[in-house]
Amino acid sequence: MHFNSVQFMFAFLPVVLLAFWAIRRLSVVASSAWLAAASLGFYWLGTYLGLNVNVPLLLGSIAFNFLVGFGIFKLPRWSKAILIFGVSVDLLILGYFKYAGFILDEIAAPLGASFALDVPRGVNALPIGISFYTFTQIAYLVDTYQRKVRDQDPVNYALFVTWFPHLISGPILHHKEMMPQFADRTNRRKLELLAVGIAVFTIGLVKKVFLADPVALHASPIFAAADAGEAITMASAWVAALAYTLQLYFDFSGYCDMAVGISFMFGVRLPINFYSPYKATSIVEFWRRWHMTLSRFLRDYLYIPLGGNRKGPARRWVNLFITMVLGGLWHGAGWTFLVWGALHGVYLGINHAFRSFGGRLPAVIAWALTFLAVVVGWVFFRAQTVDGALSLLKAMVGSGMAGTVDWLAVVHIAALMAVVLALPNAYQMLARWQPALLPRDTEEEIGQGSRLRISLTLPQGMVAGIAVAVSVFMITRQVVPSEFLYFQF
Amino acid sequence: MPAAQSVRFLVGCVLALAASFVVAISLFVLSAGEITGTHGWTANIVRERELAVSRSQPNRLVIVAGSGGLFGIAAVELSRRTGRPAVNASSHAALRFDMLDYYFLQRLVRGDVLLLPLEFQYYYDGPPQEMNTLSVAAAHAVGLGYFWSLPLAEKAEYLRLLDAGFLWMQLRSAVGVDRFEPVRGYWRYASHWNGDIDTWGGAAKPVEPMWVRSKVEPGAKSRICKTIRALVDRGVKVIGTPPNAYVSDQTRGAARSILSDASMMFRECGGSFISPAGDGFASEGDMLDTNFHLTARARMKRSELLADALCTVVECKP
Repeated sequence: MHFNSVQFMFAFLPVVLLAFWAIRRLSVVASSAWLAAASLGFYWLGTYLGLNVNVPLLLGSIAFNFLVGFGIFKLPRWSKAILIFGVSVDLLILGYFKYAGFILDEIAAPLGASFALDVPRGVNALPIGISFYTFTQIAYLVDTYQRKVRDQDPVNYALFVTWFPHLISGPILHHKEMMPQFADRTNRRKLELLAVGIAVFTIGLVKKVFLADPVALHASPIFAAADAGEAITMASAWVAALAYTLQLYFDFSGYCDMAVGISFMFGVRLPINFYSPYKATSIVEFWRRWHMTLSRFLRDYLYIPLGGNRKGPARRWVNLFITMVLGGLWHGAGWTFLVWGALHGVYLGINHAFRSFGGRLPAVIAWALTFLAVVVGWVFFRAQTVDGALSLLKAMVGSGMAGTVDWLAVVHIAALMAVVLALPNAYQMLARWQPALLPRDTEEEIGQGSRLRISLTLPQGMVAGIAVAVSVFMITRQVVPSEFLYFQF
Repeated sequence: MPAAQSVRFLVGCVLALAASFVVAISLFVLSAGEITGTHGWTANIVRERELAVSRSQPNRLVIVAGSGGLFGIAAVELSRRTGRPAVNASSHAALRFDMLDYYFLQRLVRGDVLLLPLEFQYYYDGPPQEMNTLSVAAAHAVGLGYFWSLPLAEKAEYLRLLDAGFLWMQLRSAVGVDRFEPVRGYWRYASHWNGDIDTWGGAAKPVEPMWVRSKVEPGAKSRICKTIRALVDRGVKVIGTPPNAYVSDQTRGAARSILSDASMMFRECGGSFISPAGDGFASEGDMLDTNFHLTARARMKRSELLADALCTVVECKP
């Protein structure tokens, strides 16, 4: 089920929310059980949208990781071995669904090895949400091993993994930040939660429906042409690259806002996942603002265990590169994702080296270089093939025809860039209520919020209502429901 | 935050949503029943033919198909040859089969004869068997009757398929901003009271032969068969017949195969099937403007052959 579907907004969400508040008056434990059941129902309902839903796999994964966590907790002498076993099984399952086809077809076959194995192949074979719930549970196992986890309640654990606002596309959660919220027995101000939740949700919905989906029309045909080996003009290549850069931005940020808003309605703050990344003036800063929970996961459970920056600059660079390549591959089994990850590994290396030499650039130049580097990366991220990406990049540097400029697309892109750069984000506008869990540096940056604030007035409520109504009208016009781009990961 | 502030925001939100809903409903109702330049000709054809069927006498012969029937069959000729009052209730081959049932077939009673020279696409799954944009626009321009007849899920699909541009045209017409003058295109062909249209003077144009699938597809078969059975149960004689079509020699085999399939389907479902001389196939010189619209002259010839075949299964008193 998609957050931007009429069925979700006007049937699933109100029913689950009303029942939750009714049950919570009687029992917090029962309300957690209800949310876990509703979250599983949410996942299962994806079947009707043609999504690859695998409920037994999800339930099996939850049961397995809970038992492994229990073992780590109860058998300290064996905890390291149990942790290695648990993480290995998780990665093997993820690898089987996500990478087996790629390894057999793209690596083994060209080397002459052939295996008569029927393994899942392609994005459609990937059980939806598996990348997110697997990483969430690996983090849980490591935290349990490090004695950061105390709670061993199966219902709360099932809810932590399946919590529907994050289940399919994240954010990737930490057990310790969610469990106290699920167990919170204090009396909450439901109307405030609902109002703030609706405000954040509406901002996300508007981003998805009014900004992300329309700009995709400038990108998709040109990327398809590049992948098909057709000649691309310089103007259209730039339009496609920038349009996709903005589509992904508004799509992912819209999704994150909607997830945070939905969760907040239930009194649960999700960790912030997206904080104006295109305002970043360095790649290091970009990764502190883009898909923040994945960055956190990769830092805590990959980069630091690899040695982080503790073993000298050269090793730090290698660790960063490995982390980013694996981060790229996490998005999908394909050469384009690998190149994208490697490219960002190189970017980060250059950025750290530049800093270590004390280099500084004027903010505008630093921003422009960062943005350009990110746009180049997104070309690989979006293209179906490395050849397609290279052909688009060559066209961008003017290797082919100049072509005519689609001024409508240029104005569209310029308008969206203005939105990206000039407007505050949802968390700044709603700083007073802190709808998401913020890392300390972000919390300090948000401070008292922005000049453009949402103060939940009657007119603002009316604007939100009209925005939802018009969004619904636009959503119902779509022949095929518009999925969030991060669903496929 | 004081609770009153949250309440004000939520009240604003609910009020705006409710107001938007009321506005949407009002616009939906206001936009219905307007004949404009967007699919207005089809809507008008449906409206006129519905009226023609309603006003005709019992024991009538009713021809229902897409525009192939409209441009390819003269009801007046069939009436003269069979001695039955005949109505040509053909309209547009993109109209959903279910709409043909709603507007025309449900009006038939015991003793009526229904002739179905259905275009080949009615034998395929997908449009026009499924709800489609043109069907919805035409139905909406006729009025809200078809919408109310639909089950809930199809009502939602109907609403989804109402194109924004079409609705805008309908609303402009409803509030009197646009005045539609039906003088161009097919509007120039006058309609007879029995549903026939007058295309005399229209010259043949070169057209491409049509492509035909070779089998009646399961979804289409199920829907058509259900309708035939319901009509037969009501005492209506249902007769299938090939459409008029210009096909290439290479495609003719597939066309014969699907017609044989259709013939079997009609018989299995309680109807009958007639094949006039030539099986409805026409030459390029017979085509008015598409590969299933005949010139007026070819239409008269086709109607004579059809009447001859019809009189083998129904009693004719010329």
